[in-house]
Amino acid sequence: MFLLALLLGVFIGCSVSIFIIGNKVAKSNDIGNSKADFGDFASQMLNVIVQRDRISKP
Amino acid sequence: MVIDCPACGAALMFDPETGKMKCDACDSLYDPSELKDDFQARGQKELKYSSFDEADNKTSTLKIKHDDTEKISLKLNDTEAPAVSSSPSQGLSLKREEGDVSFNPESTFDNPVYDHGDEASQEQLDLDNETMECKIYTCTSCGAEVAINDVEASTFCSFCGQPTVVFNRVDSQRKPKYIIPFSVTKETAIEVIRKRLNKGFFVPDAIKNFELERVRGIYIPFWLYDVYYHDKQYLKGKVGSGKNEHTYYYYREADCNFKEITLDASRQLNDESSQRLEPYYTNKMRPFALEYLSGFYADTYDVTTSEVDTLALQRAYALFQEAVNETIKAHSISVIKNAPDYKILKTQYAMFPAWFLTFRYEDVPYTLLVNGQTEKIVGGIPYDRGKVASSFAVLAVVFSVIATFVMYWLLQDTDSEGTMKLLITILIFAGSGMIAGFSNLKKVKESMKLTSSSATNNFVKNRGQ
Repeated sequence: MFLLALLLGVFIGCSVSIFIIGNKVAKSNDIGNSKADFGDFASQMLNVIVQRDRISKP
Repeated sequence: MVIDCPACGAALMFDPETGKMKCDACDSLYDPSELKDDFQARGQKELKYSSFDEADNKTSTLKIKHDDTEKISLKLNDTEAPAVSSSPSQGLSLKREEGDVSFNPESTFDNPVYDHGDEASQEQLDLDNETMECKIYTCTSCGAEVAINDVEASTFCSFCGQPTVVFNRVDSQRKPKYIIPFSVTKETAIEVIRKRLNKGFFVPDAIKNFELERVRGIYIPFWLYDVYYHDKQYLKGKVGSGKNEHTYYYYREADCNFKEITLDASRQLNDESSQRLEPYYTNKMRPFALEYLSGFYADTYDVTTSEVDTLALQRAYALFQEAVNETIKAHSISVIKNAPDYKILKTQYAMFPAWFLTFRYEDVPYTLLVNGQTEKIVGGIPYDRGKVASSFAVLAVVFSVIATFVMYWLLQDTDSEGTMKLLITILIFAGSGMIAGFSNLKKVKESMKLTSSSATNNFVKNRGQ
């Protein structure tokens, strides 16, 4: 039982660490990783002509 | 040809701080418009540009029907909602007089989706057929012969370092309509990079104290697209999670006018790099004047509008979709059917500023870019492997110990359905976290590859100073 807990624990520990390190490295070393968005190019807001929510499957 | 200072005759350069032409010898400042008059008064060669005003006002609609104003129009088979019969994954079936063409917004757009037609394409063909060759120019300051890159419009003399503006080269190319002059100085560009690198925990110390190999202020050619985009879409999205997750269907009809979508017109510069430099604030654009180029490098376009039309539409589609998705309160939204209608209203040619700073790390050159208007830095920096490994080891040990105890405690009660569910959920989250972490590391590596790419490096390297 303890061996299984250890294996799962190491897996979870490594996964969480990779997640944190991956985010931190990206934040620290990947600079300017963004592009212009809708607001930068649209001369006005999106003009929604027809809006229907939760309709039946087309 | 050097733009001389009217007071002392030394070379003038554009000063980003003041927005004027500055003489380093006598500190005189001149407004670029004043110099233009003086330039002509002294009998120096004034540029004669071909007029491309008509081309600038070209209307290229996707209705693929040509008229005297170079309109191209393309009609949808069926644009009436709700009878939308196309699938975005398969591409839309669009009809024009000559036959069917297809437009798939999610495709790679390797081939243009429409033809400019005979009349409209004549101007484009003329431009496309221009021969590109390397020419030799004489430096008016020291008399040396300077070899100019076939798409370069201004350069420094490799021998005496004078800011030599190559008028003949610009003369043979289409004149940019607008320019955003440099407002970030070389010193500021270096300073913002140093500050940013010093903030990076995983940036190696050798890079934090980098020695610059090259710094180049380069005007990058851009095409600016005005696009009208209209679409009728059936979408589906998910609401809730787990057992409570439901799929719902939505309908949207919307339109939008996009103004000055920027697409870089240089084959030498990677599109990804130029797009990351965005946004450029086009409300600060000024009518193009050669004086702004003095003291900087500049490339004229070598990618025609016909080559990037589809890319412009693809970007318009992506931006439009981003806005449509925001009107839907759901996640995992996807388009299931749509019927787009779009027009390229106008294309204009402009030059935007960027600083290119090259340094070496482990004998590999890395080129960081700084937006010459906004100071935005672009680049992937190599990470300190030792720091990454030690940080990972510390975190892994701490979290593994905690997780082992939690797992041991949960495994005592495997008969309980709730405990098993919790266990499985934790494992799924852990697996997803690992994938997300690796994905982020992969993105950093891709950025590093871009920053150290030979194409970006050569874009800067092949310029003498």
